[in-house]
Amino acid sequence: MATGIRDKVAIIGMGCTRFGERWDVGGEELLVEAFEEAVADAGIEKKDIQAAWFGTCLEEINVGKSGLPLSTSLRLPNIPVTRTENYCATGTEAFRGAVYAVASGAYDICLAQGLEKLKDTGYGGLPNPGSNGGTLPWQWWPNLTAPGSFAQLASAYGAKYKRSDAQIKDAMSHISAKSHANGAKNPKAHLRKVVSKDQIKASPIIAHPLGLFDCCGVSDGSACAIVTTPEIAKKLGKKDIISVKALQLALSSGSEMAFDDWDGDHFVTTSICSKRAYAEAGITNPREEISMMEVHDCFSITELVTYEDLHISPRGKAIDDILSGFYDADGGLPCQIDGGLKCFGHPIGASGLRMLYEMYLQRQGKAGERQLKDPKLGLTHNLGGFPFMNVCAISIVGKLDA
Amino acid sequence: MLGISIFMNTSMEEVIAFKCCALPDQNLEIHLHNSGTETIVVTSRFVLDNGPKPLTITAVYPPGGIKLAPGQTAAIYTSMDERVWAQYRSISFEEQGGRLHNFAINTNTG
Repeated sequence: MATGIRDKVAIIGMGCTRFGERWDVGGEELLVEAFEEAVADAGIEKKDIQAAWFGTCLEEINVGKSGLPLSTSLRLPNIPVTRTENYCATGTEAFRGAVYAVASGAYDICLAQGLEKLKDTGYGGLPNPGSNGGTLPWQWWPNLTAPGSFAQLASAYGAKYKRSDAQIKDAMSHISAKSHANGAKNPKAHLRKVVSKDQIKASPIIAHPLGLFDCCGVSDGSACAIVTTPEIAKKLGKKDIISVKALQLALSSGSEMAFDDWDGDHFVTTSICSKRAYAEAGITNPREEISMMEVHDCFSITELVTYEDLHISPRGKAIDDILSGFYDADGGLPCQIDGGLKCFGHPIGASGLRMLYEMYLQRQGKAGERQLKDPKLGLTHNLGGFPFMNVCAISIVGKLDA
Repeated sequence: MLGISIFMNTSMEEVIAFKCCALPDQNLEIHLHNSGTETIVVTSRFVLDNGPKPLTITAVYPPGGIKLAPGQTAAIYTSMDERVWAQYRSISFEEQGGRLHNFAINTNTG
């Protein structure tokens, strides 16, 4: 009988680069920058790492295929390195590989690292995958754009819950202003300036009703985690050990795309994945028990709808929670406390681990100006793909045995 | 009726450069607000006047005209040298159809 991952694996070290247009360095240096922080934080030596998982999504841009970019950049001593890719869940997928390897007993100490270096293309968004997109996906996604498909989510949500464009725009502006206010306090964020709701609302429309500030950009960055068993963590002298409470994935079956009874206003995968994660972590009331979140705010409407798919805001009520400040830094459940994708951009392979990094810092009281008061459980959420077909990953971390 | 709000050295500059396909130095943000009862389209250009010589700015983002429904506000962005800007005392926008809207600027300086 499977018992899940709860409290079987501890995080003993994490690292994260400054995100941004890192023309000063290559992907290799980004890997080293994050790794050196994590190793120092863990208090171990490189030779103690027995296996690694390397997450990168768009390997054709700067990074390269296989696990070799990680093994050679870090001079890992001929250990197993597995490259993972699972759309925007790539970083969390790498973390999942390392965590499951430790939990299985196959290894004592493992590394998960994500990297993406996208800004050198000179293009503002993600590159078109071209023929690499797969034959069937291209038949399902003709002439698709990410902003266009997520904008339809906003239209469907408004139609279902009788919310006007103005109400949705007001809530999305609040979401973005909140994230930029948080990101202004984060020295590792790409964008660090406060932006007002008026500026957000007045900015150019990308795909109605999504404006410039309702869409995240891409970036360069890397983040990593070193994991081991709680027993080894204690032997290493770690106090207030942070453990993995839940680690779940849910992928579309294709039913949303086939238009069964899906009405286009929510993410089927997130709704399912979060229930599994709460069950694995022993959480019965996420609105009360989760202390902080980093959710996939590729578009502001994604964040809005995700609040409901995570079963934190009631269906149709996320706008009310957002405008009441519930998800603000001083609210009941702070979200994107590090600035989120809006301020970090989205170097795909790194984002999931970057989110975990903030949960890790917050749990240890090391988040500087952003520090929340005694956060207990932190949730991270990634969503790769489109509303009608996607990969959802959720992790929950917190104090061991709490 | 058109109203404007001006943000010199806007926090938007970094975001426009980051997200909008290499559009750097968009340090001047101007909000255009339609307080009238009919939709208007403001051309994506403006003229600075009451300075050394009239200066027409055409490199404005987004290009192609700004359509404003009644009550709507939309922003335009451009690159502007602060020292040049400070020399002028008025700015004018033109609607499609030729109607001009003139506003005083930099009235608290000099």
